[in-house]
Amino acid sequence: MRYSTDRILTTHVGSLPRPKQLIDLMIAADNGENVDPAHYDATLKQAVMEIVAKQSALGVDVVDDGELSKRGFAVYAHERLAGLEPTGEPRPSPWSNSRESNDFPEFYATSRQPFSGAPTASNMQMACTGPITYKGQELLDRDLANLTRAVAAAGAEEAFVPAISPSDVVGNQLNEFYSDEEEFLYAVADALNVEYRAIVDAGFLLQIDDPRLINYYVKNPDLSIAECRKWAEQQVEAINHSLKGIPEENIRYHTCYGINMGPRIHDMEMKDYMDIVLKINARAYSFEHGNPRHEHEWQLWEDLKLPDGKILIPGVITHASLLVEHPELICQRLMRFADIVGRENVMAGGDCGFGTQAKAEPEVHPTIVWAKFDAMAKGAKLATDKLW
Amino acid sequence: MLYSADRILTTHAGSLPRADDLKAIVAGKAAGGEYDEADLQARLAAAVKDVVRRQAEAGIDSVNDGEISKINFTTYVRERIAGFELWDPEARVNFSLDMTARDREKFSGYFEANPMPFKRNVTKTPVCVDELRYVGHDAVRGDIEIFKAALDGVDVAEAYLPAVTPGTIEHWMPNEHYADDEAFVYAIAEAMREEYEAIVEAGFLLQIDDPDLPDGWNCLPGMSVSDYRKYAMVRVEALNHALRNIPPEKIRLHVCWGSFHGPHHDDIPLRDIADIIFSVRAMSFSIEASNPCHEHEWRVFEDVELPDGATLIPGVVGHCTDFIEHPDLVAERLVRYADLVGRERVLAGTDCGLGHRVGHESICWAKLESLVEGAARASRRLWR
Repeated sequence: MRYSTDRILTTHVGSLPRPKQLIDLMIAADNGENVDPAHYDATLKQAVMEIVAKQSALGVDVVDDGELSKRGFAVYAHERLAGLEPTGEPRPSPWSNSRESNDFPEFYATSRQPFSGAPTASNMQMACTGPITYKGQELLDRDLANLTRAVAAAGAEEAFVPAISPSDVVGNQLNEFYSDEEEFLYAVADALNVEYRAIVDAGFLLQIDDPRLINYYVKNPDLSIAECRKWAEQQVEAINHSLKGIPEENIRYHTCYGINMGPRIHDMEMKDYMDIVLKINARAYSFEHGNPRHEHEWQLWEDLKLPDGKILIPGVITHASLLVEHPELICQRLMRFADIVGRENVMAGGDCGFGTQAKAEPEVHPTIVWAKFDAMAKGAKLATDKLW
Repeated sequence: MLYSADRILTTHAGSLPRADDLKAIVAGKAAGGEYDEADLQARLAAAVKDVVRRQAEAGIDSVNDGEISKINFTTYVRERIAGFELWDPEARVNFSLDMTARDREKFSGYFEANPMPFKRNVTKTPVCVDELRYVGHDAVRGDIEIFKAALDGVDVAEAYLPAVTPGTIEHWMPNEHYADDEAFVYAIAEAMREEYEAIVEAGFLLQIDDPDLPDGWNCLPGMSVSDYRKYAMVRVEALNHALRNIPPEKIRLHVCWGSFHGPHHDDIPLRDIADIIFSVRAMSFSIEASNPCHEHEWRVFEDVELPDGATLIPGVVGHCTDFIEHPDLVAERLVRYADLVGRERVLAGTDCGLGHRVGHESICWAKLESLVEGAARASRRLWR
């Protein structure tokens, strides 16, 4: 993994806007319609070529495939893990009975009802009914081949592949097979290790995506911070178990608060979780920083020591606002980190993905996403000019 | 006007949430529909009383009436100045000002997918067809009486009422009567002078709402910065002409960049117009400072001086996201300004009116709560 040795490098969290042709095919597949696999694969392959070229053109140093093939976190896990079966019921809203919806019931009632009607593949509640094993080799090989080809064509120096954490998979399923959640968690961890190793073996950085670690607090109103910390420590042990055999230098870790565009006054604060996150065997840590709920948390690093050789990837652009971050603001944000943890240990990143779900209505319009990326490159350049 | 003598004081930029039923009546009246004036006045009185009480309870030091009686700037002006006539849209000529114009050039795909709610959606446009004359005496008196009654028995440090600038009125109401734009804008100024003076005579701080000073730049995409500065200076001179009889310490100026939800990628930098903003006859200046297009501009005050004795009200919470700004972030923002211009010259404010621009009224009040808590945290750091 490269450090920002002679300039501030840029990357992002993972998902990027998909072209309309691909979204149309994904929505059709999600609704159970027949989609010609060859046509789908060709469309995906072309889209990955274009999305990698786009990132390179916009000055992104560490690129990915935009997670174009993963039309949602949950369905991606279902496609790749054996031992899960559909229950026939939709998953509940991720924020129902959370601290947030309890405090802002009218806001969440009117604005945030993601799942209604009959469940599709993407929002189906799944249950674990048998031993969890990895079955996603073919899909994984396709993704890695697409990215390898696109990275070579674009001449990108470094690329990462996001993969879901075992903790996040477990949080999305009902467990009807394993004797307890710990046993379930470690079974998922062992299965995902296959995917993680393959990503690194293909020459990519592995990014563990783990929003559940810090969302557990907001989603469990009865638990205290201390109880959530204890739970998080256990998850981190399982995550490290899932990473066995993979050198730390090939791993980065991302956590965030999910695509919750609400008030977020109950987000677990960085001071309450970051020491635990630093125990994850990763070299770089990516987290939300580019939004008004978390922007002040850079100050934490005045008291918390970043272990030697580790890298921070604060979000300097966000999905939380349509407004395009000014490059000067991005520069200011990066400088605050660089001044504390050292310029070589800071990369510019995003708060979260910009196209987590393949939906007709994008979370942020692509024209705005690309303007944000352009601003990020310019902001990193401004910071570089000041820091070197 | 207030100084933050022993702690950072708090205020906000204008609109506050209003109940749906009242909104419907006010909108119906604005659209020319039937309504019961006595019933409306009674509802307004109750709503303003409620919104003043809530501001006081939230810990806001300088409060207003929440702009409850004003459905939008244009309609409110039409009720207060005679000389306008409603024209069908197709009858309009040479008039297509759009505050998203610069963004539209780069983000056409976004604007196609997301038609702006701010884009004119009324069927008729008020057009100036005759000499302008202020006729809003009763209306402004009504606002004042309702606000005074609402303030009775409530403990707040300051009360302000907003009024819009000639330049902003010019944006939304085309001229078919005066010989040129300058004559038109001065005529508006002379008419609005009566409203400005009435507010101050009633004992309130006058907040001049001047979105057009920054957002005229967005409306006029063909202009260079130097052309635009000339354009803006004419509007500020007209405004100052209208404010000539009022002591500057009775006036605060609020500027913003149009406050529509969009990329704001080409907003004019504060630095390019700061001297024009500070040439307005006011002693207190409210600016956007909490959104990702303008948050970095605190550094402008490293080398731009506020007018002598003036205060600055940076927006430390804003309407651009439903996320509630963390109080520590609010405090950090305030301390940055205080370190540059002096703690007593900084008040905590909002980017623009929050009322109708955030996802739910609970979001607005939670943001104001965070603003007050953040100001308290900043005060503890600045007065220790």
